[in-house]
Amino acid sequence: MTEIRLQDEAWEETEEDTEGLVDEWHVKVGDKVDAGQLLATVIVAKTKFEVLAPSAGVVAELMVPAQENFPRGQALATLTT
Amino acid sequence: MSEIEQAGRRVVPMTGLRGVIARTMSKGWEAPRVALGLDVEMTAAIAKAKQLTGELGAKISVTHLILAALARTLRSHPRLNAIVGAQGVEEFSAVNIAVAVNTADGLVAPVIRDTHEKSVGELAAALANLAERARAGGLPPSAYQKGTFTLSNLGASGIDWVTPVINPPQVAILGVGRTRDAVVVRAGTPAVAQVATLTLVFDHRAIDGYPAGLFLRDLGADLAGTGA
Repeated sequence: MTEIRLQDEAWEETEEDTEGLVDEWHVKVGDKVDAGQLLATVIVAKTKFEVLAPSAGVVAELMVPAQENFPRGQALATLTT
Repeated sequence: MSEIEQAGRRVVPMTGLRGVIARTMSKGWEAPRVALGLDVEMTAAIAKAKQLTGELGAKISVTHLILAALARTLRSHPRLNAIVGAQGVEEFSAVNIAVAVNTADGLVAPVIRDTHEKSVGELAAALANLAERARAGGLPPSAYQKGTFTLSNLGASGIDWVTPVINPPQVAILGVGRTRDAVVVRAGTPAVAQVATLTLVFDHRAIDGYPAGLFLRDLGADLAGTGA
């Protein structure tokens, strides 16, 4: 099981209570994904980030729905490998 | 941003940057806001911009002079250089002005750090750099944070004045309209001068009308060349 998180660089030098926003999921539970595949588009402040699959696997759970905020460190999804 | 097109109708979803703007504006709109306006003679500022453009070999605009005047005035009116925080109104000695920048995707407001420590030439370079990177989507999230005041100069769009929405959690924002020819009265005689309307919108929870008015008066005097 791999937990998917937003890359650390997104949070660099941001204010403590900064939240991210899942703008769009590009996969759904049960989808097979390849390493490097686009999973989600996330916005922090006004900057867009792409969250990519670190390895091949199957999407087990999406923890933050699209258009919802999440705090620093929050897992966004899990992949079974 | 995906768009849905049907016969004669286009729906632009409030997601992506549009969604972020929508949330930010709704939050800013929660403030009990007051707008104050002042017409300011820009003749001296325009001459100064022209002079500096020649001296520095870089395009200096009225916006850059407004930024410099804002930073000076905010230093002497720290109540406007503030945010509404969890514990109350937090005033800052350092001036970090967020500047509204129009991009293809929508409005962003990157922050010029330590605006008060920069010369007009440095402000011009900093703003050009931020605007270019913002338009390319290349600014990190932190570049949009920790602003203490916001400037929205809509003059280039041709409007006379604007009451912008406060950029939360900041307590105030300045809107600037175009510089236009207007009739002013000097020693009882009408004359034509170049004038711009400055509009200060502030959060009345954090500051009252009189001190906010004094801030706008001092800013106007600075820009007109009759102040500091």
